[in-house]
Amino acid sequence: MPTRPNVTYPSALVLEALAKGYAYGFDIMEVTGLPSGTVYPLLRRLESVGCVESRWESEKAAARDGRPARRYYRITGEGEVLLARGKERFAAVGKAVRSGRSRVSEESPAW
Amino acid sequence: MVSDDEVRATPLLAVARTIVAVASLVVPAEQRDEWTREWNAELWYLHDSLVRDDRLTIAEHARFLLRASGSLVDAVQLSTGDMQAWRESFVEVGARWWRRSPVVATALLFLSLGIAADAMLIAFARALVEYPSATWAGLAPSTRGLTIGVAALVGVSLLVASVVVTAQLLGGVGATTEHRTRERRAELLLAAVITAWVAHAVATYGAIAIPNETPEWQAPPDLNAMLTHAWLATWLCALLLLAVLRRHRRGAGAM
Repeated sequence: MPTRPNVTYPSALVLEALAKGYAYGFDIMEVTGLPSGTVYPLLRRLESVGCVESRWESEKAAARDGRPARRYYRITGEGEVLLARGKERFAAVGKAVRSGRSRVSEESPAW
Repeated sequence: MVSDDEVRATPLLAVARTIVAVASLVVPAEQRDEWTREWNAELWYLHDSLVRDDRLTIAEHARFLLRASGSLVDAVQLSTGDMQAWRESFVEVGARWWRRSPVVATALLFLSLGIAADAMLIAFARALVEYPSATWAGLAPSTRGLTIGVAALVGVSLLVASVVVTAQLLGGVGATTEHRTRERRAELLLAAVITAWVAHAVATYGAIAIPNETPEWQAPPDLNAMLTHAWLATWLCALLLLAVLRRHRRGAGAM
């Protein structure tokens, strides 16, 4: 069974961005200010311990629009618990990420 | 309106994709396709928004490529597993390498030490040539020349010796499976980062510490650039030598 990771400031920021509706790796970088070499490894680690889940959008829909399909990320219940712990530890997390939503395609996967 | 083909054809995106393609070499084979697809897709969207909003300034070019180079870090992390441990302690990584393969760990240690020392020697020798008054207060030109010569000789010997030892040690490791090749690439990449870090740290601390001891010393203004060039040149030579030695070994084995 995967162990719940220690909540670090960057992981709390990533979870906060996901909780606020940002769904793509590069959008998370934009709103958290974290570099790409930090965000992706964090997303993978959080996904491996069940705090984040990801899906690919439909290839068909993307191909129809002449663009590549994108991978979406979403925070899970486990992730919410970890985020709450993160907010207790790092008070600035909530303010560091502005509210918003990624431009999720209309045909994004059903969660 | 910018067409999709125009967006795809931009050299900036091609460079970024090349970075991702290079990084993908160290990603485990079973994850490589999906990993590459995700990075390329995200870069495409970012690039697309920059082109459509006409924001492709020099600064945005640099920022874009910096983001693409994050794929290298991501790839190494995927390849080497749990990176939190090595972030916290280089010693742990060394121990893990040692447990997995003492021979490879020793080979990498030799190569790293050789390259780090060599890069520092080359940078120092260059500093002597370009800033003789700053680094050589009161030393005769003949002595200066001799010292530079000795430094160059030691540098080259050090590089050749460390590469030969590395090739010998790596040659002794059994069959090269795809898994091992991937690990070797990741380790070499990590060794490159460590040597760069060590060389820069030593040079920076050296440049700060020496003036306190010797009032006439002035650190060259571009010491870090010198060191980076020396480090790149040393790595290039080391990899070239390694390739030649491996080819030679294969040739000998085929006979």
